[in-house]
Amino acid sequence: MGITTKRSGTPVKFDPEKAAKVIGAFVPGAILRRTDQGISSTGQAFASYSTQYRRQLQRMGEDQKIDLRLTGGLMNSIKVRETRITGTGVEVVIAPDTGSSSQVRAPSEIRALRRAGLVEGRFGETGISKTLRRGEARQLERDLKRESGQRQIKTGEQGPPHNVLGYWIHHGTSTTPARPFMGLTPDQERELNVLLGKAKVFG
Amino acid sequence: MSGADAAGVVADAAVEDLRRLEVALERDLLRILLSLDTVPGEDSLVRRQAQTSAAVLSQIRRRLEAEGETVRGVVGQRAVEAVAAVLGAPPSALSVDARRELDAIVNGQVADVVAVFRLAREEMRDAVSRGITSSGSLADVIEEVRARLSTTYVRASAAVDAAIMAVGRRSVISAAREVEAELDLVYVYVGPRDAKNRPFCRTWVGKAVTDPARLDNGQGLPADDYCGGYNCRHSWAPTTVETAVREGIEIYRPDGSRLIIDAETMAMQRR
Repeated sequence: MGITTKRSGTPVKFDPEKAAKVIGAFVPGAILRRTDQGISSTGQAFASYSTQYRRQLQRMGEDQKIDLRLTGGLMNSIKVRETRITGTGVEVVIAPDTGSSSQVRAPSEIRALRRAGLVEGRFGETGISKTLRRGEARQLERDLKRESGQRQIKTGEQGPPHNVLGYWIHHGTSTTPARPFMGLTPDQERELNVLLGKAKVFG
Repeated sequence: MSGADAAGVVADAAVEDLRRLEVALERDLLRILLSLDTVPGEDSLVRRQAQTSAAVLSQIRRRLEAEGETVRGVVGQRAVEAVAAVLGAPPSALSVDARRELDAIVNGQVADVVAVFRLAREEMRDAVSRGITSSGSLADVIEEVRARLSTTYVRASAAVDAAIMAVGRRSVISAAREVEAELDLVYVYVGPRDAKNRPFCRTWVGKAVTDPARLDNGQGLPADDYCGGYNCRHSWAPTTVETAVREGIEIYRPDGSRLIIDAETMAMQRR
């Protein structure tokens, strides 16, 4: 048995391009500002950083607030990646990009001593008595100078792609809690709806 | 993948290119410098300086000049790819002007990296020249060249990293600019507040401005794209004036004067 529907009244006009522009203008900024305040996309505060990571941030002279920033590469890569306009609506994909950032770590003199074979153990708890050759001593001197002369050290490696890193942070891994940062809170969604109305996207 | 997105990937490839070039250049420079030590029994630069210093300097100069050309070629090629990626990725939400701005950032990356190598050429020539004409040992000269080479590539990578971030910031700001007046948008400076902040970042973090492009970060780089400069961790977050007022964020005009808007005025405007 067929169903017959009848439409009446003036159809609602919808400007998908305008809608895409409003979404693209509002959403990345909303994510950046909320994340900076330490609030997740569920409206709750982010899970706190581990003591070890906080200590690392402290050694690097970094702000310890939970804003998911170290080099700023991930957060600065959030942008409109795709806009699809269809006959019935618009889909705007906002996400971190697929580039990557340089990996950085806190300076560590223990690391230099370990490289020279002078200490053992994760925290350099075992000192080793050893005579270094001239070349080894020079290398140790260089490494110690490097490890003590700057707040943060570039490892020379690139980190994972921003979109992969973002996925790990957003959903969590076996060793880190989820910190959902992409998306909007209900309040932010309401704000977006107000802006869509203000930009006369509908009629 | 959008254009700006692809530009990030191409810039990553440029970092890889630079790393490969660094390894090759270090190997070549060491070979040139070690040629000083080929006569048996002579391990001091002082003893051989008269015969070899001019020859070694000239070899190093030639090698560094060739390196400058190679880098210009490689990074230039990557920049062309990045521009092609930016321009050839339909459909994009960005206007033609915004795309042109993205191109300018990627092209600026080439200029920055080439400038880094020009500076390195001068610095390394000075370092080698000093080593050869003073009583330093060969190991000291090699050490100095190595250190300068490493600094050069850190600077070059920083230029590439900064360009990637600038492309991201530019995409966000360009999208906001298109509806800025209609939605009453301002730009909140977000990011860490710590001892590493540059004076520019310390001044603006947590505040909003109406036009970040007109601010001066004192680094000769556009503040809307690079924020406080190379390696800056901050971002501009487009936000409505209403939200900024509600959250108690101070809003400033580019001339530094504060735009005073309180919640009551906002409510009146809404009515």
